[in-house]
Amino acid sequence: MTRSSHVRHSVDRRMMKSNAMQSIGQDAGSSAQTEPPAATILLIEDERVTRTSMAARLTRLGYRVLEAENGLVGLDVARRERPDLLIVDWMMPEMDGPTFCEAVRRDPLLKSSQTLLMTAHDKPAQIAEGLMRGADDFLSKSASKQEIVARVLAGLRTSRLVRKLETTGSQLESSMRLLQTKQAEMEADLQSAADFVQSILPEQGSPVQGISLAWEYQPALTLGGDLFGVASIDAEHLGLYILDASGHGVAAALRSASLMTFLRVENMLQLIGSYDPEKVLCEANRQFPLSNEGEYFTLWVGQLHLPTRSLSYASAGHHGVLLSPAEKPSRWLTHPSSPLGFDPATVFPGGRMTLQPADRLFLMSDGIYEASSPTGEPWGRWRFQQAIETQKRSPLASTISHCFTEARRWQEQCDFFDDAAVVGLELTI
Amino acid sequence: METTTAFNVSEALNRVDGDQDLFFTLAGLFLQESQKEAAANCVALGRQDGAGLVAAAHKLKGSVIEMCAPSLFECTKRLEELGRQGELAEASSVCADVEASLAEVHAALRKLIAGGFPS
Amino acid sequence: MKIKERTSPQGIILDLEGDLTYANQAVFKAAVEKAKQAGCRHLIVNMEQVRFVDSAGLGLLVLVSQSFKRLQAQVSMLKPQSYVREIMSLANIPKMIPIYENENDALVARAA
Repeated sequence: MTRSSHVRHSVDRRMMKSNAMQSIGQDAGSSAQTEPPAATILLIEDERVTRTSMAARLTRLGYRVLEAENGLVGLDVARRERPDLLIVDWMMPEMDGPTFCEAVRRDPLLKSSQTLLMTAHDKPAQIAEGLMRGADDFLSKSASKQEIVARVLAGLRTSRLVRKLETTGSQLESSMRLLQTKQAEMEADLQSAADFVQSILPEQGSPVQGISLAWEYQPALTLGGDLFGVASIDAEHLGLYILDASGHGVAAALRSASLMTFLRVENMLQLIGSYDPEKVLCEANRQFPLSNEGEYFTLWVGQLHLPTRSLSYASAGHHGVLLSPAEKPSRWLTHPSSPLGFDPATVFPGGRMTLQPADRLFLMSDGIYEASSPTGEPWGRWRFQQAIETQKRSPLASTISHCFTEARRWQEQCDFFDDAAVVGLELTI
Repeated sequence: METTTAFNVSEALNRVDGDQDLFFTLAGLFLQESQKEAAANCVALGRQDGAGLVAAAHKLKGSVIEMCAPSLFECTKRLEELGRQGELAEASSVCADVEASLAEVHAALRKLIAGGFPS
Repeated sequence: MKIKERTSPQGIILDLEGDLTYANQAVFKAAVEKAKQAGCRHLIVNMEQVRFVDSAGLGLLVLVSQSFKRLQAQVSMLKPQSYVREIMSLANIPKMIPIYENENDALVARAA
């Protein structure tokens, strides 16, 4: 800055004292103050006298003031310094005030900045134009100190709020992304566990000569609490079971897996020496009491002697077993019995029958026949039975598939509220 | 406080919260810049450039506000309006008024700078 | 589910209204615990206004019955609706938790 020969008082002395007389685009400095001002204001004004005066007034109010001589320089400074408030003159060369405001609103880094447009314009049309083009408020060049203070304070207040919102928004977005990642990981884990469970279910087809096996299983959630098994006990015997853990989801699935392990043929032979259904249930009742949260299992166990086609079975509270003889009407193998763990002293009475060739035995979880219509009416065991009866001549797998189709049609949706499983065995010879 | 006809000293000092040093700095700047700004008015007029006249007159008007010079302010404002309206013929005579009024303000300022504020 | 408690010399009656399910287990547990703390020797669960019991609800009832038994106390059930009665029957619940058709019979049975 050149010194006028007419200026008596040293401009240098003034510059040392004032924060406002620095060159364009640079920090006005705070050498006169012991602490930096709380907020930073960028003043964009091409006219030097006006700029110097306004900067001095703002500095006197305790703000850190940055200056720029036009909108283009102002944008650079704003991007670099991220001031709390922008005060910009309307008419300037290179880039005028309204154009500057538009540029600010387009800039992702600056778009939420608070902008005061300095103007002598007080006509409604100009005010409307300024607001539409991105200004937040106006400041008159001839404004009193009180008005300047009031508008600057209001602008800074809004700026603080907006910045807080931006920070919170950004933190929320970050948390959301983390949650989504975690959720995706969890779902992948669950699916992996579900795939594993599916892999240990018996293979469909012919587990032993003379027996055909088909099943369909739809857990209510990714993992379910229903499990079933069909395995050779020895050369002449086939063991089968279906279990249902109360509740559903991961907890029920984990409990079911532990009972499934217990029911393995090798384990039973070691524990009780046979796969006699009544003895199996008795042992299971002992080893799986009611949990502290009231959780329990229902379990049906059967043993088929292949040479004689003699089926022995016992049930602990499981009522989903339907015998469908080839030439007779189907009937439920149901009688009252306690689930596992209800009564440590309970005895599980068994049943026995001889199957005929082409007879079918269906083991199911209650999720399939308790499927409810939109009005709340369960599909029911009777309708399930009808679905089986009408498909007597169809292949086993088709019959089971038909049951699921009918149940879904009844409840008018694909997913079941509770785990739904239907296992079918057919004597082929 | 002395009030000249060219500008209102007390109002101008009040505008800078009584900071005499600041006032003199602004005054010095004004003496420099206003001459350039006034010259720009003439150049724009000479070119019959209405938009250029508006910009130059507006700029001068802004700095005049700081000096609290009502008469100079009014004719600068008038010059800006005429430029906006495209009335460049009339603007010519107003431009001369601006120069005359500006000369008065300059003289008053120099006197104040030389003599200082009354104690 | 809403639960109202009524006390008589022979026992405490819990009048349940709603569904006895996993979602409502906390309410039921709290009411039972309160009765236990009061030294209840005979808890009568009035099922007249209970529309539905799920597997969790069934397990809860048995859990409560077992815990009262350990304290030499008794749990009885009153007027279950037909659907609920069927579920109870299939699970052999009446052998653990006697079912009564009126309150007097329930209260007198324990006293006897």
